[in-house]
Amino acid sequence: MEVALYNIDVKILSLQFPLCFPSPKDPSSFSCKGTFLSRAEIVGFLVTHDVKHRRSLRFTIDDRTRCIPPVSCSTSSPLLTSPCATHQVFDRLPQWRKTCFSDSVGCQGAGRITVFRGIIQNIVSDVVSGTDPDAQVLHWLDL
Amino acid sequence: MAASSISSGALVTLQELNPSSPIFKQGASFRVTGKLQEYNLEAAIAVIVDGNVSLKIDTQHLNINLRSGSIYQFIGELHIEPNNEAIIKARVGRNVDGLDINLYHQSLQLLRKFEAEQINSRTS
Repeated sequence: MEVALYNIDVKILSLQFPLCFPSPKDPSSFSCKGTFLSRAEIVGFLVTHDVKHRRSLRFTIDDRTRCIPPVSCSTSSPLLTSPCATHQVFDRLPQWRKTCFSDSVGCQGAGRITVFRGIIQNIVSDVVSGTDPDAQVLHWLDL
Repeated sequence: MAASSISSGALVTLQELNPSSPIFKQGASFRVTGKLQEYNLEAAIAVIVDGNVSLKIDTQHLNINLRSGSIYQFIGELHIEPNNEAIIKARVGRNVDGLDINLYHQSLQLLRKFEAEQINSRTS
């Protein structure tokens, strides 16, 4: 039976990304083993980050099953809940990167699943770079 | 789908990282967790322990403050010395003080079961 979980941040592992395929009926949603979803939440170690032309910040999260291909947030997708993120994030990028995006921190990102040049990625609208050491364990238990 | 070029760190316990284990391979990426027992500042070598097993971590590429007695998690590549001693060359690391170790180990078992199911369903 098909289950639709549109507009919900569904907790998943990066291992499950290759199981997601664009829905032929609705290009904004993805079919993942009979479940239709459009958004995903991932939790793991932030292992890389870089800024592209001051337009988008791309980062990679290692959730132990795979390194999730570029997770990105662009200036058109405001970062909502990160305490140190603002809509003018790129004006204050050096400080923001230092506090939120030093590699070696735990990171939780939630956003839209998209495909870009054949790579599934997550355009995050909500990032929390957290210090809660149990965040990933709780994420696993919610899968 | 193209995959990311960065290897993910397979999550293992220190007990599982022994020379007789099939995962004990030069250059393999792992994520390990343990309590910092000692740290050699000059060589940037840390030793973490979990139960009665210890592991050396090369932290020369990290920029974190290490405190003896705190719990740390590292992701890096396994380097096997000529004497068969393992050392993880860490590329990222973080302090995870407060981590519920028992819950962590139990959820890891559940997660492995879940992953096996996912992989089986993909191949079937």
